Amino acid sequence: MGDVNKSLKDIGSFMKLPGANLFITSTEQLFNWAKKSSLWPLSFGLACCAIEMMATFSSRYDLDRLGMITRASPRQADLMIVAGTVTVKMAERIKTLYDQMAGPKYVIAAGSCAISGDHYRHIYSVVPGVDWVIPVDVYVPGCPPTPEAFIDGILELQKIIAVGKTSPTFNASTIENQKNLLSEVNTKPIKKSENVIESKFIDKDELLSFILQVKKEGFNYLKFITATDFDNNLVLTYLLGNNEQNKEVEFNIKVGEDLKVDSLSQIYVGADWQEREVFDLFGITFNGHQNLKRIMMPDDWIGHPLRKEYRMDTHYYPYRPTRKEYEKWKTEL
Amino acid sequence: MENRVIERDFGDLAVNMGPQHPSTHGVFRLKLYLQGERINKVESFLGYLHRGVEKLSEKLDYDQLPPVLERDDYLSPTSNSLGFCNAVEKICDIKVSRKASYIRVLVAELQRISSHLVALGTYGLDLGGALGGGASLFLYCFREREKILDIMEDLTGTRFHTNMNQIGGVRYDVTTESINKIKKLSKDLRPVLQDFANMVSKDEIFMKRTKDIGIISKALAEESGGSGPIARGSGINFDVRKNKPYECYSEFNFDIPLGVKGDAYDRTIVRMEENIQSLNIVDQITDGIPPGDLNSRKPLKSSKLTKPPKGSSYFSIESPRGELGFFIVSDGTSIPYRMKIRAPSFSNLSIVDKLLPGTFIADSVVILGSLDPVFGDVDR
Repeated sequence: MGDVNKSLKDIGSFMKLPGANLFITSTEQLFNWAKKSSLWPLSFGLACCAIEMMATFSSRYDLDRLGMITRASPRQADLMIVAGTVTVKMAERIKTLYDQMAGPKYVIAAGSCAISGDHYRHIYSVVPGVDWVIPVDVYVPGCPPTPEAFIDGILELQKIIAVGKTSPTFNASTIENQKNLLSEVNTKPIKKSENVIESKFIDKDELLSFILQVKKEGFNYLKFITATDFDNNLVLTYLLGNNEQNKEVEFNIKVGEDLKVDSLSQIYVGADWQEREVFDLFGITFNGHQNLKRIMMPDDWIGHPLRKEYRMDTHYYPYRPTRKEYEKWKTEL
Repeated sequence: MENRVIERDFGDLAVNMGPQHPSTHGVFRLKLYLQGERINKVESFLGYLHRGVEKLSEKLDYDQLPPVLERDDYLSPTSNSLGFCNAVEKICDIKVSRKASYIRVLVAELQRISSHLVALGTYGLDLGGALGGGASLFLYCFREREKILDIMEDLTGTRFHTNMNQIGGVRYDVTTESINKIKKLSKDLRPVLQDFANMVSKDEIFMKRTKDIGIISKALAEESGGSGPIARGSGINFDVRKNKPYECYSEFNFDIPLGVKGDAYDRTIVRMEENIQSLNIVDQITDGIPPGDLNSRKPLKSSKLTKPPKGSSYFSIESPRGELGFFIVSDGTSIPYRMKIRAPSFSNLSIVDKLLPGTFIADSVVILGSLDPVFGDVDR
């Protein structure tokens, strides 16, 4: 990481020619001026902050006057504005994009999520700050930062470049040696509630015949499928709508010990993703589903996050530290 | 000399699109299997912005949740908190004063316009060459959007995560000064929005790029759970504001624009006409906000005091992207036992798997843009 932004002075001493050091030191100012005046950011947005970033680039705030033109390819860019929440699934891609950028390269972490994870920092899938993934030069606070704050951050970066001083922050080194450890099944004992859902329950074996009958009555609109983790049972909730008659039908089934339910993906197209989500977050298997894979979490994830006993602050190396490591890092700050 | 061409079938060429791709409108990855320029098969990968909001909501009190949920669908933040507040009010049986209801609708409708403007602007970028360089439509739309954000800043102090709604009412009052500003905005915006609608609907290049592209049949839209402009573009007359009126929508006069064919063009036109209808609602609100309390509850000493009775309830509203619903299971404590967000973008986007095979690779961008997904909403 360190030699990416190697200064010209180093090259001067490396050349070992009489006067080379002096000559190159004075050209360095020229090069720094050129670097700061044509920062080409990677057009790359993650979440809410990206919308404000777009607003900063467009009509009223017009970043073109600072010499900034967005590039879609990391090969042509030298500034990465990380605008939004960084998740463990995205962290790897951000690292790849950063590595693909040609040096000298700079990173701005925009928004509280990219700085520290904000209110999502103790969530299993969120990286608490992008500086656990790549080195960061400038932090722009805000949720989301206003365009004025964005411009201020960019001017700040230009100042840093002009004096040739970049000392980016990077945290990941402390957990580098534990790279192969993935998230373990991280559970805690919890008192679960009894079933409180009052709407209609149908028998698990009758599901398909019930659905076919309901669909014949015109309930074509699949609103959602979801599950709830109760004391001794997972309960699946289905909600179907009938647009023409303006009606809804809501029903539940109790998922037994075997955690297996018949799939609706052959009857409703939308059930495909909905069931994958329930499988991913609750671990309920759907018989007859063609493509039952994780949808939200990475493929190698262990455990099902929305189960009640699953700890919210599960770690995921190398990008997501444990709660203990995070607190330690915070006190060292 | 004999000219020989040897043709060999190498099978499909797999091309990755995203997660860093300007026209996926966020972090979404498509794996396209190509035969020449045609797409044979599609695999979609999401979850790059999965922030575990549903898990987080099992830790926070009901009163702490609206600002967190506003980060979900970040193009129309108020509709998230509006849906959530309504869902909680339904369980707790809290009545909202008419004034608060009017203010909620005012902010929601203004944000619907700003959201559709972002959708149109980025769509212009997706289409590239259309409309004189593509970027000009983007710049026009963001210029107008800034005016709406100014109003938001005037009303609430923030540009788009307004934090306006709270359980039982709204946080901030609307002054007569702001009303005058909104009236002026509406007057300015109407001809501009009409201009945009004309610019889109009559532009030769735009029509060539979007007409007959990505046709969603009525059955496909319904079965995949599509709602909002996606369903209405296909001619399904479904709008939660009309079908199950919430807040004070039943008091206002507005139409539901419908498409005929269900192609990318129809969906864009529906969005453009919805803008005009939203302006109509805004005008009706600014004509007279009824007097009343901002919040029907007394100020609480602690957020732990909101305790809905045991049970479950589902409440949905019409966000710019479609039916946004909140399914809340309450066990009688101040924290939701389980909260499921019925995200419109998630269902709308699931059509992609069925829609893309058989189309050209250049059209995949057009189709994806016309679905207008927001990934905070898809992945939650």
